[in-house]
Amino acid sequence: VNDEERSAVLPASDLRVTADFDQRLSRARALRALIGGGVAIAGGAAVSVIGELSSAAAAPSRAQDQRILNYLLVLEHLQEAFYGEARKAGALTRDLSTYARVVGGNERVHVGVISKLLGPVARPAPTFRFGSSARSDKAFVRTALEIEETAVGAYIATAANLTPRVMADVGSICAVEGRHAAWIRSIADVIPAPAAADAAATQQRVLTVIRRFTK
Amino acid sequence: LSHDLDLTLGNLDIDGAIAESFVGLYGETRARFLCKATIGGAALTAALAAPARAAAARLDDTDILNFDLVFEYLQASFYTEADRIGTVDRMSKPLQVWARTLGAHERAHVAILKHVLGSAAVKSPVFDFKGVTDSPTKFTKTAVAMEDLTVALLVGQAARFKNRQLSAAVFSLLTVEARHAAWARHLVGFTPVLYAVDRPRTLSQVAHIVATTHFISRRASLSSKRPPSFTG
Repeated sequence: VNDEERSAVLPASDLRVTADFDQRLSRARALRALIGGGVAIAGGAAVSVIGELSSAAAAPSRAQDQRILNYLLVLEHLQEAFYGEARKAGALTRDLSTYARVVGGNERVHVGVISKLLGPVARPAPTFRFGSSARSDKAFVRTALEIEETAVGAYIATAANLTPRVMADVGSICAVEGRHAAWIRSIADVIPAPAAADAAATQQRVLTVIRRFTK
Repeated sequence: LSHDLDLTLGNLDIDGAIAESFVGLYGETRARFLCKATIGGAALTAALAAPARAAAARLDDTDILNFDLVFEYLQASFYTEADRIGTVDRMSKPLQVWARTLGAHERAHVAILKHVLGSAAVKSPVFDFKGVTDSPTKFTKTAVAMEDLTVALLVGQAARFKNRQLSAAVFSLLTVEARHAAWARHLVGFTPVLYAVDRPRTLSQVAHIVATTHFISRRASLSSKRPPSFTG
């Protein structure tokens, strides 16, 4: 684990609200039978709150906000850097080029919003290496899909642990990450909304993705 | 797109469930305006974005969830009806997949929220879609606007729950609504992203009204009897 990765690691308590949900997924399966219709409900938080609204989570605090925001900031830096690299390489065809320009602009705004929320404790962007992943349509789509879905899952996993005012700001970003994921999936011709409820991403999964691009 | 879409909340909201909610939050005059503003229109979204009353009283989580439930009912009814009467069958294959997936998701969201709310869940209002669900074009345009509006509503409410587990739950529905909106916008040729950060709507107070009025049984005083006019 290098410094950049360590900077993104959260204590388990920062993820506890969502972890509680994940332990109760059997309830989601019961609900699936109730709903029917053949559309799977992924292991999202929504279904597993049912009937069990305990207060086991760590209380929100400014210190916890800072850890979570820095965690999310790494992902925003990653996305911004990736789309910046893609634009610089100039290898994308029309739809993807538009996507990279618009979404890259959004990610730059997200970096700004989160950095401002953090103020002086915002960590600087790591150095990313994208290899050939921004140099062809095919590689770009694969990478964009991965980092957008990871971002969606990371926001879902952490947002509810923030203090209310910060949570509201982060929610506005979270929704846009959902739009990005659906957009790139549309271009890739895969179902843009694969489940009725989106799932949280584990920290392990998030760090695996970050690690791939910080080596 | 907004400019092509003349359908208003008042048109859809036949028994006034949404209108009643707005009256409590924004007052008579503003509610009247909101219900006459076109769905997805700039005027509506700007007006919803502005804070209504000053600081909200402590909100009951149930009230907020019930307000979300009304919008999920609206969406679920909309997609289900279009499919049931054969409109979806007359659409292109990609639009069929989209419409049926969204219908299933919105029905799932209704079931999820009803289950969470238990006996506190409000009943579904009666919606009259005024023929919009008969036309693939009108149906699609309205769906795009409704999805964007739902994103705005959830963005405004996700952080307002006292119970953070409910916030977490709403976040995992919010990103799905955002996907729906982006998917729809992409299919009809619009940029899937509206803003770099989705605009929150301060509708927390609405939830309180939804729970404390008998809005289900009351007829709308604000809902228009005029059929919607479409340019598209």
